[in-house]
Amino acid sequence: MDTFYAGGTGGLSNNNGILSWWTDADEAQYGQYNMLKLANENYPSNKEITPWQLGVEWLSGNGPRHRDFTNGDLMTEMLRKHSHVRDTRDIILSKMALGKTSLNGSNSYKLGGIRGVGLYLKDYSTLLTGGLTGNLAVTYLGSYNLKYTAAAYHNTIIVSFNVENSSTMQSASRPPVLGYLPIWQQTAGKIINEKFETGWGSKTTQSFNWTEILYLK
Amino acid sequence: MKTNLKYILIAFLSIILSCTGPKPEKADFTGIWKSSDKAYIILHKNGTCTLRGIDYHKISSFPQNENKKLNAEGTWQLTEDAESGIIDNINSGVNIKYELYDGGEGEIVFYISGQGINENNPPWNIFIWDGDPDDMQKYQFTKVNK
Repeated sequence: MDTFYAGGTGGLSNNNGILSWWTDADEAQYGQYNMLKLANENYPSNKEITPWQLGVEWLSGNGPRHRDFTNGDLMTEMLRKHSHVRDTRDIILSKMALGKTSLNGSNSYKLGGIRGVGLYLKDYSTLLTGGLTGNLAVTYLGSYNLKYTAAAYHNTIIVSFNVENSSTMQSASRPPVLGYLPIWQQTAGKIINEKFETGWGSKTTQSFNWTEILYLK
Repeated sequence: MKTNLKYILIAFLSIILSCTGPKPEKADFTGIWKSSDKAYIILHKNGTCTLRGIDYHKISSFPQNENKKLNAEGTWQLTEDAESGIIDNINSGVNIKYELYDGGEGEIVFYISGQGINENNPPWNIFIWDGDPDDMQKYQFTKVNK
């Protein structure tokens, strides 16, 4: 919080873009407190922000350090097109077809491990082709754990999906294979994160929560 | 540059060493498993299990599950297709299915890690990733009755 003035009769401060000003209580014990959210039109909204812009926000240290994405937001709609999300829908449908009333589970997309090498190369090739060869939202996310909760109403299934992501210098600079060894996390990875605790390259987080309707055939 | 080479050398040695490690067996997992937040899981020999005080938001990170604890009965089995993403040569995991309050089914796949430089030697721990898997933060359970 930046406090610009806090004197005998009031004060003015800026707390993460919330401008507050107040006056002390007068003789009748009436004070006044006012808040105003500062316009931040320089930052793209959650609806329109692209993976590139999210990357710039993270790297520059400017802009919100957390964003919530939902249905209709560009990032969510890109993620929904990922093959892993499609595969997860199929898993949910096949389980619900067995007569379950509700389901709660997760399906991880992992770039680590030996099997992750191919996925890693595929996902990061998007950066060379400007997004033509893969899913740019997933390139930004890296590994992610897709959590779901599903409820059946006759042949209709309402599914809520959730993905939590954080962007750190350790995850951005992690090489394939080597970066997924336990010793990497304990040494290089740890040092990298400690060096970027604040300022440019410091941690940003994103939550994705969206709902879909699936139909049993 | 020297430091980078050192890391690369250590990493390659780790990969080579990781190829030799005992494989987790089902018998290794029966018993009581506790986490640092005092939650516990009992995995019974007969394939049933008990979950108590599990941080539900870590299992199912929807906003409505914040501060909720999972207490449930269920079943468990060792699965061979649960690679955590860490290169430790352990592909086994503990698959737990539990009953939801409305009669539905919940499922958690716990990964297995161990001791040593590659975390691939017993005694084992079971864990899920807490948040983004790229952060490699574990919600971990350790066996208490060895």
